[in-house]
Amino acid sequence: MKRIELNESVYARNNGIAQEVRRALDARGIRMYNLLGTPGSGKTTLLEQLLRCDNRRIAVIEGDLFTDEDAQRIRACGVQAVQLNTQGACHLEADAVAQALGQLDLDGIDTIVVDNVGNLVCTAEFSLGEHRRIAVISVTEGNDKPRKYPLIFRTSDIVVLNKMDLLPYTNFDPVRFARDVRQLNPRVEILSCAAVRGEGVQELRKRLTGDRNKEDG
Amino acid sequence: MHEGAVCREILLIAARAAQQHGIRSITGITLAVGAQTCVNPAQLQFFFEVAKQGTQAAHAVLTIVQDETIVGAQQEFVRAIEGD
Repeated sequence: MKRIELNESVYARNNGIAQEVRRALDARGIRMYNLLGTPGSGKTTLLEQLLRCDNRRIAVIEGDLFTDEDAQRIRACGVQAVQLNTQGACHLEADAVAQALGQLDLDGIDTIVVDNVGNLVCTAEFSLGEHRRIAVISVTEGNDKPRKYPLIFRTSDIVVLNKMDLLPYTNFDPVRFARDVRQLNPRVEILSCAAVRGEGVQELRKRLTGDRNKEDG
Repeated sequence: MHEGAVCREILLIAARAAQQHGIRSITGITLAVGAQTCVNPAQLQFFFEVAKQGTQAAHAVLTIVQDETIVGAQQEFVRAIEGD
């Protein structure tokens, strides 16, 4: 009997594909954002509002277990969208995103948003080749999420605190939430938003445009 | 929560290492996980028992060990394989 010592991460293959995706995007001057969060946190609504601000030069990759409802919502905003269905899997992986990129017409595109499967755990473990991660959390989900699901907050660049219009009807404490998130990730930026009303969406849009301009500069 | 994907990768890593080292039948795989792993050991064993069928790891035992030195994201590593 032989024993072979290894020390290989189970994510190594996905990480390798993600790096290839990122290199291919960099070569075209495209920035990609990975939008993560609980089902119902408002990711797609936030994205629709972003596209209402500006739908030029953006394409979207939608991830869901089933249906193409979200891709239809994005196309209704006048934006190209590819729908990925994971058929039960709880997250997107880099190989599926690489295939989806092949289905998009990338001429004139400088921003891609991946609207990941709604999930606070698994999505955080799988890099897709994105330049930035944006976590969308809503006040109705409760204050305890950073403590219970730390990884998504540790690995995100921006946390959007959504459904702020519902704050008076909850016991959510935004100050404690911000403190808990910053304890996990001091470099994170936290933006407040009520996506359904379009409030706070411009702030996020400015961050994305800022990234684009930094690239240009 | 993504034990299916983790199980698939464990079998891919084991099969590649077996090929490189001339192992035809994999009898054991050791997986090291950190304290904050997002993988549930019982669920992973369930997936493993199903996914190994019909592969060269059909008779393999998956051993999951805790390693407190693994921190941060992505806390699952294939540490070793055994076989003939």
